[in-house]
Amino acid sequence: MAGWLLQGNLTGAGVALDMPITALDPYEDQVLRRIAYLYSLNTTVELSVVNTGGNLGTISEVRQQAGASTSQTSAQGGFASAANTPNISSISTNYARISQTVSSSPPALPTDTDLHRFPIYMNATAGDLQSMDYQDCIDYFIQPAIAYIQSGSPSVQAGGAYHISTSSSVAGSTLVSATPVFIDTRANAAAYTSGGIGEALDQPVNINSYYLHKVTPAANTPQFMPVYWNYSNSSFDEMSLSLFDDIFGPMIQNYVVNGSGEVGTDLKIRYNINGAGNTMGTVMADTYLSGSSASGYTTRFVSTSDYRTQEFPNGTPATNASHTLKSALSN
Amino acid sequence: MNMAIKVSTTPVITNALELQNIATTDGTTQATIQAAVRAADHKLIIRDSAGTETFRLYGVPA
Repeated sequence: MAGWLLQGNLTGAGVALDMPITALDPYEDQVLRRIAYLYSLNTTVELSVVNTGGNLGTISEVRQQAGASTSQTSAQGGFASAANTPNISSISTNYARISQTVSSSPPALPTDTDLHRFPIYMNATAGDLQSMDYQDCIDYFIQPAIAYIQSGSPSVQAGGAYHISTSSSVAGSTLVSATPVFIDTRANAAAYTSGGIGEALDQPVNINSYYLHKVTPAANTPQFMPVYWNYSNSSFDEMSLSLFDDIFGPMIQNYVVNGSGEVGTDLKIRYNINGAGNTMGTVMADTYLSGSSASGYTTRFVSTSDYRTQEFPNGTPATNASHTLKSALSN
Repeated sequence: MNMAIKVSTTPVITNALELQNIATTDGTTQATIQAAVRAADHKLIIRDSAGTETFRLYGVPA
């Protein structure tokens, strides 16, 4: 038997997955990673990319466009003044491309056969060895695994987590859709020239496209597994991988949907945009050119009967708004 | 004067009071030994997930 035995005092504060000695900590991470991997195989709280109407809501993207051009003759006074030249204006594009689907029929919680199916731990209060119940499994395994998944860091231990990136390819993750969920655009200042007056009003350039990814780690096999009490054989056995998977796969897939129902034990994962929770990946910045309309006032002399003016988007980029995919926990 | 107890020529209790060559024990002897170990109360208790004791293993201290 090469498994490990948890020790802890469930009546005390700060219950966590405490390994017997620090040297065993890597095996804790291996086990939690396995649980997250199991979640990634059946992500019961799922995000998808749609063209319109995504239920996480609408976010707007704003850019500037040129004002309409003017043309006057010399008899009319030549170039129209900046005050008499139409201002630049904002145009916005709405994105509602992320939809969340919470499974209506997640896997049932695993059966605690003979009340001895789950790992054993050392009950420090009584000094006995005791098989875990559901709450113990939550405290020692599920909650720490969910903490990784909901952390916002797309590590191998965050299997099944969704996150945003400006890249369409992220190591360890799978692109949910080639359709970006948000595109930041700005007026292309270089495209507006005096010689081009009257320029087309809207001449945008894409600054960043933002994509939705899901962490999909490769399967890992923990080097050592938890020990459980084999009720049939009256023996301590190290869990087989299949037994571990049969227990903790359905357990995490169920709890992220249904939660624990207990205050202080937050297991439900729900995503939102710009709400509460941890930031999942890159913040989506909506930027624009911040120069005033008057600063973009430009003239073009064509002939004495054609003095043209137009105001162009100009200035330095500034952030109009930031949109953030977040994941929040509740009980 | 010491005098070992022998069965035929095989000692079963030596002059040094060592039990030797016991091939088996009867129920009374087993119960006596078990009671002695139990009385020492060095035990490992296994409880199910409801906290109910389901197995108790007695032993001797290291």
